Amino acid sequence: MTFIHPIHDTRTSKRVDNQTRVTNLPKSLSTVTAIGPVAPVSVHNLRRYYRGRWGKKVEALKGVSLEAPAGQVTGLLGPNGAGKTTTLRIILGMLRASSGIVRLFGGSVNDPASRKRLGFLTEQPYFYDYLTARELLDLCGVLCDVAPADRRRRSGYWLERMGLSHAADLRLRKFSKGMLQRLGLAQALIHEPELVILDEPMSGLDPLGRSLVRDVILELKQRGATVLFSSHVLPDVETLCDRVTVVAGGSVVLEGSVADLVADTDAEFEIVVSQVSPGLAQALSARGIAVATSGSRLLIAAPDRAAMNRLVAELIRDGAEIAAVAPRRSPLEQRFLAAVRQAGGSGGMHDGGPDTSDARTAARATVEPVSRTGTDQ
Amino acid sequence: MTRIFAIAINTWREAIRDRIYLALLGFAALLILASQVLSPLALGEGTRITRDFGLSGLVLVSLLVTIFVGTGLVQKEIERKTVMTILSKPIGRGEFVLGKYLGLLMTLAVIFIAMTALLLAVLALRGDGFNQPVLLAALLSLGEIVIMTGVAIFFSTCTSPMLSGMMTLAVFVAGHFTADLNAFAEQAASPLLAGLTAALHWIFPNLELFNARNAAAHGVMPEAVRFSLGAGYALLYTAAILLGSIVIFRRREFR
Repeated sequence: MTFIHPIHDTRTSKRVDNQTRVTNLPKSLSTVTAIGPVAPVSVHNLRRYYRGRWGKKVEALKGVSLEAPAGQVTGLLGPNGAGKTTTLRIILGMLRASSGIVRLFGGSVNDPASRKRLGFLTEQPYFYDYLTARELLDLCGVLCDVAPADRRRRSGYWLERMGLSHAADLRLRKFSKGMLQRLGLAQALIHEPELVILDEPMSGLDPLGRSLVRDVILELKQRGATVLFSSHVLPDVETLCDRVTVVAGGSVVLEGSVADLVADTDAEFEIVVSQVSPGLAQALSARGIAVATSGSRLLIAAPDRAAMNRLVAELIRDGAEIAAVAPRRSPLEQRFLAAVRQAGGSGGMHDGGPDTSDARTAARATVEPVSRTGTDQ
Repeated sequence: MTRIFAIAINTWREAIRDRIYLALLGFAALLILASQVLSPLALGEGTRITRDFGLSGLVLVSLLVTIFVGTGLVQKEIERKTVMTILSKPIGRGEFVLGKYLGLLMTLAVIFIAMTALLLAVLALRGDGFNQPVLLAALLSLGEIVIMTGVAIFFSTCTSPMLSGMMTLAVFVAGHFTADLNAFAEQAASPLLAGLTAALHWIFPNLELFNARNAAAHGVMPEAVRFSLGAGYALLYTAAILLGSIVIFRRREFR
C-alpha cells in the first residue's frame, strides 16, 4: 500500500513522509483500504486555506472526508460557497489541499494513469469555441488514448445520445449553454471511464436536458461506473444517488446512504382545500396547524404522513373538498435543511439553499388532477 | 508524444481559425512598400533595401505573431477554464506546455517559410536571382523565433497576456543588446553592478547570434559556424525556458 499524494500532518500542518503517513492514518481508513476494494475516490480530513481580504487566512475546507464507493452514485450537496467545487477541484488536482489525503483509485490524482479512468465535467463548461463538437470529442478521445476507430464510433454515439447530431460539425461558439453542457457530458464519457465526476451537471439545462442527464447517470450506474456529482437539485439527488455527503461551511454536516437518511424522516405534506367552510381556517389555526390562503383555496400544512391522513379524513368528514395533497418537503430535503441550519449555514429557499422547485412541481403534477375523496399518497 | 502532438495540432488549428495567417498579408504589404515605393528612392540600392526590409520584416512579423498569440496561449486557457477539461484527461502539465509550444512553433514555422518564399520570389523578380545569403540569413533568424516562442510561453504560464506581451518584447530588445551588457559588466566600477549586468547577460538570450540580416542584405553569406552554434544555443536556451515554464505551470492552481 503506497500513498503518493503529498500530504501534511493535519494536527501539526507539517509535511510528513510516506511511511509516517501510513502509520498515522486513522485506523478506520486503513482498515477499509486493507480489506475492501479501493474506493475510486477517497478523501480524508481535507483542509484548504486561502488568503482573503487584507491577507486574512480563510478556511474554505475544514476537514472534509468523503468516499465515492465503487459502482455507486454519490451526491455532493451543499449551499453556495459550502466547499463543493473546492473539494471536487482538489480531487481533480486543479487545486492543492493545505492538508489531508486525496486518492483516486488508491493513487495520486497527479498520476495521469488515475485520470485515464476518470471522466470530468466542470461547472458551466467552456470549450474551444473554434472547434466543432466532433473535433472536440476527437481531441478528448486522443488525450484519453482512445483508438481512432473507437473515437469515431463513440463520438457519433454520444452526439446522437445527447441530441447533438444535427450540430456535430457546427463550431462551438454557436452552441447554446445547454448544448455545451450536454457536449460536456459527452466529452467526459468518450473514453468510457470507470469514475465520472460531474460538477453541477444539471445547471443551465432545460427539463429535457435534465431528464437526459438523469438517464445517462442511471445508465452509468447500471454499467457499474462510479459517479460523484455535486448538485443543488435535491429531487435529482434523491432519485439518482445511493449516497449523499452534505457540506456546509467547509465541513461535512451529513453523510450516509439515501435510503438510511430518508428512512426515519417523514415528509411534510400540504393539503389544498378548495371548498372552504366558514371558520375552518381559524379553527385549524387555533389548533396550532399552519394554514395559508391562496385565492379561494386553503393550504394546510401537515408535519408528517400520519397527521396528513388524520387531517384529510377530518376535512372530508366536515364536508371540505380536497383539491390536492402534495409533499411539501421530501425527507432528504428536510434532513438537508436541518443539517445545514444546525451548522449555521444558509438553508432556505433563497440563494444558498437547495433548488427544490422541481420537487414541488413534480409532486403536484403527480397528485393533480384534483382528488376529491382522499390522497394519492 | 501523441498527447503533446494533439495539443500542438489543436493550438495550430486555433491559430488558423483565428486567421493568424493574415499576418502574411501584412508582410506582403511591407515587401510591396520596400520594393515599389522605397526602392526607386534608394539611388540604385533598391534591391538591397528590399533584402533588408524583407529580412527585418520576417522577424518583426513573426515576433508580432508570437506576442499576439503566444503570450495569451496558456493564460487564456486558464481564464476560459478550458484547461480544466484538458487537464482532467490523462495528460501531464508538462505535456500540455510542450504541446502549446510546439503548436505555436508549427504555426510560426509555416508563416516564416511562406514569408521567406515570398521574399525570395520578390527578389528574383527584381533580378536578384536565387539569393542564397538571404535564404541562409532567414534560416538563421528562425533560431531567434524558436527562442522567442519559448519566452512567450514562459510568460504566458505566469502572468496576464498584456504584461506577458510587454515582457516578451522587452526580452527581445534586451536579447539584441546582450553583448553590450557583457561589455558594461566588464567595465563597471561597482562589483554589484558588474555582477548584476553579468547575470542579465546570461539570463537574456543572445539574439544577435542569429542576426546575419544586415550582412546578407549586402550579399555576404553567414558563417557556417553560426548555424551549428546557433542551433545548439537555441536548443539549450529553449529547453531551459520550457523547463522553467513547466515548473511554474505545475505549481499553478485553477479556481
